[in-house]
Amino acid sequence: MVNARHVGFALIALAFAAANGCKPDVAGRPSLVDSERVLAVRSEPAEAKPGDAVQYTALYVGPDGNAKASDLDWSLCVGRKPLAASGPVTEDCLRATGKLLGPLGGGASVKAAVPDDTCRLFGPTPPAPEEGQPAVRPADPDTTGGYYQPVRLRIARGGADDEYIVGVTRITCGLGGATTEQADAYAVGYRTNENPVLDSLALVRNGKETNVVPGTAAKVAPSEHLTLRVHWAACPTKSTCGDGLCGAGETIVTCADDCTMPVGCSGSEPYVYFDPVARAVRPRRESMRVSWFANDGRFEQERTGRGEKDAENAFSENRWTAPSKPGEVLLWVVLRDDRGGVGFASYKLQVGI
Amino acid sequence: MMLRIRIAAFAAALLLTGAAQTFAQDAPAGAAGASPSAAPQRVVIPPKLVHFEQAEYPEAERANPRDVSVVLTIGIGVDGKVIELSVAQSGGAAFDAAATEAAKKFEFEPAQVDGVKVAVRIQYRYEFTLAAPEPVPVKTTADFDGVVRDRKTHGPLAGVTVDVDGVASVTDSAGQFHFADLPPGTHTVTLSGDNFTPTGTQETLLAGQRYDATYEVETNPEGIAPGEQVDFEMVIVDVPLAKSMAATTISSEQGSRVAGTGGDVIKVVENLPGVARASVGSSALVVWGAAGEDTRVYVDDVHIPRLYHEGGFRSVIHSDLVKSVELEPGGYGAPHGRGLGGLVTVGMKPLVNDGYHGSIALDAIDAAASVRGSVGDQFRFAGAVRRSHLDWVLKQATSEDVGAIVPIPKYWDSQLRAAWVPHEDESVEVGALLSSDQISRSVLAADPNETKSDGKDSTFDRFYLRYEKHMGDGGVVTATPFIGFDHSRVSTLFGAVPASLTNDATLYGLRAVWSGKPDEHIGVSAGIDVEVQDSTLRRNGSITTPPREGDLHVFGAPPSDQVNADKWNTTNAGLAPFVQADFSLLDGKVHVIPGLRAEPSIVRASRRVPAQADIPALGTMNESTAIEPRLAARWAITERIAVRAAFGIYHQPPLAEDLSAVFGNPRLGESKAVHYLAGTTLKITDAVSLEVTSFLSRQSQLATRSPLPTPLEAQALIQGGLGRAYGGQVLLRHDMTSHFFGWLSYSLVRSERTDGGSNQFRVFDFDQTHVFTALASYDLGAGFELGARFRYSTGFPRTPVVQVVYDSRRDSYEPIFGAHNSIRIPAFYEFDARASKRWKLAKDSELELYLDVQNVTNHANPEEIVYNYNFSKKSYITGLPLLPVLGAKLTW
Repeated sequence: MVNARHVGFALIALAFAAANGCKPDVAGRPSLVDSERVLAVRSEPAEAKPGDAVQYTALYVGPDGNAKASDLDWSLCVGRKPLAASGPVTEDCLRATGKLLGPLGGGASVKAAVPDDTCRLFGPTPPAPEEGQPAVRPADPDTTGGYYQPVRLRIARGGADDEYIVGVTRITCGLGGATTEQADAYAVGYRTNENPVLDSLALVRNGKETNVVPGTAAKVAPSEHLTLRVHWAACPTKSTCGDGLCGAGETIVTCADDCTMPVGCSGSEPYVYFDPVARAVRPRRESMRVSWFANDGRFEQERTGRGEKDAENAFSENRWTAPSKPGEVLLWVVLRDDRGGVGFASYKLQVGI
Repeated sequence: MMLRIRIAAFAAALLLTGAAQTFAQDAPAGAAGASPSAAPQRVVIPPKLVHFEQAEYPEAERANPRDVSVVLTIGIGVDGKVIELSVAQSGGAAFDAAATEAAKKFEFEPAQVDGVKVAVRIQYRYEFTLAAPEPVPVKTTADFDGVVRDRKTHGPLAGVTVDVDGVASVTDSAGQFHFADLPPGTHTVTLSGDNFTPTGTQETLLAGQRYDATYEVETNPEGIAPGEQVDFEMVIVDVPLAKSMAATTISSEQGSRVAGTGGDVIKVVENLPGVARASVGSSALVVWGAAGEDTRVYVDDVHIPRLYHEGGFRSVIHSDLVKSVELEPGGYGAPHGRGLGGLVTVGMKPLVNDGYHGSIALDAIDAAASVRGSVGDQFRFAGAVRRSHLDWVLKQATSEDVGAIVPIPKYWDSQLRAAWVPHEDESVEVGALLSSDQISRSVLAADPNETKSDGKDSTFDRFYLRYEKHMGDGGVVTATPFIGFDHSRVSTLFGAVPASLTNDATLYGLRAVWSGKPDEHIGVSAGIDVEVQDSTLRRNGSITTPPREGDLHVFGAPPSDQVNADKWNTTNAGLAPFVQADFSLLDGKVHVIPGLRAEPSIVRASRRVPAQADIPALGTMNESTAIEPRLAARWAITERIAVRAAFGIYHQPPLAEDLSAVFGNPRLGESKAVHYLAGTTLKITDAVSLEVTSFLSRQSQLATRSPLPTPLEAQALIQGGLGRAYGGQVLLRHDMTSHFFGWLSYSLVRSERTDGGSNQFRVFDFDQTHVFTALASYDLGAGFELGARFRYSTGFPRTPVVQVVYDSRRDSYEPIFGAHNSIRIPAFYEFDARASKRWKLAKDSELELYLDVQNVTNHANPEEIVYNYNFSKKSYITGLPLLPVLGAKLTW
């Protein structure tokens, strides 16, 4: 007869094994700013056509505030990475100099022009084949149907210790592999991306929000556990002529008021994309992602956000534990949409009386 | 006093004949007799030859054959012994010597005179004749000899009744039995005796062939009262067929007792030489450094896509139906192909008419049942089913969502077999092999980009018809048509980044083989091996998800979010006639086995370029004919020492998954491998043997990634990869003796590949340079048995992260890699143990309770490298800790 105690022991051991046998603990705390780091790179505008002018800005910070911006060295990357290579750019762009780099200068912010051939380099336009050779494969889009011109940022630390950061500008290139009707529908429905904007940061205590005014230190108690909540613009899911936003389906013909100088929404924007599975133009909405940073204290989550399905909630929150020692805490919040748009803001919190 | 006696009557008694030599002995010339006129008349009885020794025709004279006579004078003592010997008439020195040597051994009834034994001298004529060999009639029957031994002691068993289709023979004191002139075909052989349960098997005899079998039976163990019978399995030790050159075969009886296998016979393959250890949760079978998909798996003649269920906990065939499992890591013969790696053959137990039997088994992982029996004499059946419940068990045992951390597989399998045996030399079997696996898990996170889910479904069904006929001339014909349906779907969703690959395939196959023996020294197998696979596939996601061999990536990292999609279908058809001969030379000491396989094949893909707007798809077809010579040889230098070598060329069609115009290359053709191996076998004792094998496998035309940043359209994969694997393996094996069996296995294998466009070899992703396994099982008596297994293996190679780049768009750090596969996960070692107890419940029924403990020392074995968010720290995912699994099995 089977001994029931033995069976129970075996089952528990099995569960223990499965639950605990494989869990490493190396996640770390990316939210803690304990050294100089680039937390984000923003392209303004977020999306541009070949030849357009753009401005890149880095959120480069240190434990005690802003870091030395003159350390930053910017270059456009003008070469595609091998098809199966990992990383955002070819390794040829992760060097101090190289023929695939277009130098832009130094500082926290630089200006550039999107290369004219960016849609061939990084987009759906196939590169010109060599004579006698068959066609060349175009780049694959991301999950939002987007293509990106990368910009490389180098922080010189000395040879192999140099740090590399890659930012992007979403490029407007049209569709690859679609029918004429699909391309027309896409052109009518698609709106270029806008960078998201953080409307506010609030401290939430007992259900009540207290906005943190940028440049002014909000007070928190030592070791206090509180909720931090950020808001951004709530974007309409349907285009309405006269709402100030040139939405999907609206054109200068159908809604001159909104689309003569088209303005997008700075929150979770609706957009259309070409679904490669269904091979059809489909409506979607941006998901939003919030990255939290501070030079002290501890966040419960490193990142929070809203997926596409709950994008109507134009806010996100995180739990934060203040440090036990009194002092000023610097806080940075980066808001990203999934079409490459970036917004960020910095705040101060005063711990203790 | 000596009498000279003429003994004319001698001739008839001494006339003997042989097949090649004839000796005629006339009455001795000049023999003296008593005078008929003498008085009083004496009663004289001449000596009588009672033992004749045949003289050999001298070897030196065979080149000049002739009839020669030698007359000998032989003195015979009163005891009948030869006491004097001389040549009276020479036939030549060689003939004289041969005749003299033989006559020394004559024995007589002494001569008598008036009732008194007396010594006499006679003359004896030896006549040497080297007769021309008479034509040997083609023998249309078979002889069947063998020996029955005790499985534990290896000692002969006397008094065992061996019955072949109603004709019985009883083993002698040496355990030997003999049947002469049996009709060719399949015969039911049953063994019965006082001390064990009668059992049976089937043997196939070929005309003109002598079949030597050794059966080992398990006599009643201690604690079993006389007269009671216990169930046991008969192990056929010596199969008198030419074996492949590097095969390792494990019987179901041994395989089910190996620690760490949970009683699963087929799981023992992981412990055989040449096989890399699969990582936890993996069901991949890496043999001699070949990729998992390069090793073909057959159940008898039916190709199946996998050997193990997901997670690697169980095989897909119930052990009760398995007779043996055989691994040929390379150099196999012409009957098989389409794989660059090894060959695993699961042999199913023959369906016999021996009553109804079955089993029920239960442990923490799954539950299983089997049954077999017969209806009348002609209809036989067997079936088995198994279903996992590990997911349910974990829910009962812990509140943690274990499945969110470790994917917990859900699976089931079933095998059904029915046979009609109208005659013992003819059978028709229909069967089904069914298997299904499912894995899914979801991990929620506050960050929508960190929300993950993945799932994997895979099923395969095989339905086959097997016809077997033993011809009157000793030939055997088998034909196995089958149809199969495979489905697999792998899907992941990492944040908003999807990836999925679905493959629905229909497989049509036929293997038809004739085996015969046109000559006493030549065996021939010829046949045809057909497979047609129609696949419909859909894939979307990143081109690097899932990663393929050679891709640089780190475990658990977010996939690339550059995505695409494709739908395509493929047809892969091959028709391979093959022939293989077995030349038996030098009294069977040398076997030379040449073979040839030719396989015209087509590979069709429905789309030669990615979908473009509404342009109709144009397909592509690739035709080729692979010629695959094979050659193997084995030389038994002595009864205990043999050497062997083999060579073969192998081709493998491209995977349907790789024929995508978006993710692969629809124009891919076949890959190629050449195997070379050599080795030796030393039988140290009757129970202990040592096998040493070295090998080299060269692969070419492998599908690899295009290295270009802008590859040509529909050429994400290119066919230029090279591979090589080389090394050796040692197997020191102790067969089952009275209480013990076990083996030590060590493999030294180096496997390397090149990446597309490069001739620079780097280490294969699944290379395990050193793999050592030691296992043993000991029968304590009274139904108790203990087993242990120790495994050591080199860790898998990995590529170091030497730098990082911060991707601001995705807010993630991405690795920059160093030299490809230049570091390794730390070595794996683990000690497993098994204890079991069997209780006899009633006649033919038994309960076994076992505790199988993996990782007894609770050693944390690194299985994979993981990094922190910016790759500044690394750690390891470790394998399963101490894992006891208690199980029970009831058989009847």
